[in-house]
Amino acid sequence: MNVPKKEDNSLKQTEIIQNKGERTTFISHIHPRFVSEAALKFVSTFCLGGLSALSFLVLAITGVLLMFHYQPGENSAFSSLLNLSSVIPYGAILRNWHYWSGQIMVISVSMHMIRVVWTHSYKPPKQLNWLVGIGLLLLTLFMDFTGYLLRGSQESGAAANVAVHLSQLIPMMGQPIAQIFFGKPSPLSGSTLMVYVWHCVGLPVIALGLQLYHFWRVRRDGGVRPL
Amino acid sequence: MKRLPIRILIEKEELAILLYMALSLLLALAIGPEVGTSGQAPLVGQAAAPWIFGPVQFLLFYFSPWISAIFFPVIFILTLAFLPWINAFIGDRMTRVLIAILSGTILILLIGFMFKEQVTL
Repeated sequence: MNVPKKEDNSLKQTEIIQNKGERTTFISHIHPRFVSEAALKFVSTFCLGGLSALSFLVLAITGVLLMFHYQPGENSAFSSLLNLSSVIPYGAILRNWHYWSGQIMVISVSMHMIRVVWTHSYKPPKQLNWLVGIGLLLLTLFMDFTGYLLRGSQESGAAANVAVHLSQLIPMMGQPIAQIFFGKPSPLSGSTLMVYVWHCVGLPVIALGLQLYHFWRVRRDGGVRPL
Repeated sequence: MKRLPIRILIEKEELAILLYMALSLLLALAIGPEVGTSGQAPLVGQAAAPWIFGPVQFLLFYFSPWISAIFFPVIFILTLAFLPWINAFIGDRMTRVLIAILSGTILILLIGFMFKEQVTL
């Protein structure tokens, strides 16, 4: 009778060790073997977080494809955009898809934030993840704005110059902030190399890192809270 | 709480991806954003901000730039950031009221902006 008990114990211990090992890996937190039934209900989350992540993925793919034809700069941005919209095969659809994914992401991230507030999912121990979420909201808004500037139109030039002047209002560090984020945009075009690099590399890379941490933290803190 | 295998979640995620792709592609095929006005064209008189920054542009009509573009946005962001700690003081019900007021204000400013400006995609 003692022998099977020992086997049972060792099996249990092995299972615990395996589970512990599984729980500590990043992938198992993102996709654990089991999830709570409440978290699977549509009304628990309205899929808003997933929708935002999916929009980000579509934006990354369409964005890379757009980069093959887009040229930043005061004189080249607008003409390359026209080229994309009317000459390059499927260029217009690609640009439209990039645009709409961006708009969907802005709306879904904002709605996601309201859902989190409504279900009190920002409470301890989730404060840090809430702050990460706020950071992601700001990054999303900034990515949307830099995307608008990259159109290279007169309207984007006006928006860039307003943004530069407003940034300069920040005491002490306004001038460097404006220079770092916008460069020196012309009044006729908001497309600068600075804006391009932030839009295509800087902001998405930071957003990707924060998103991965955000997802991992959601599961680590006990998953989603149903309404 | 009852726990279900991850397979069920994956199936739902796959369905959501298909729906998202179909909807966003339909939008992309049907409506495209404007390219704007070329730098070589005659100067445009007035340019509206992208719609998400509409509330800031609307405030800029009535208040100084420092208040509209720095003070109000910073207060809004700080309120959101400190919400877990504010909640500890004012409770769940008042936190919801606070967020409803903030969201409502943004929405009203956005509607005001859309009425005042000719908003383009």
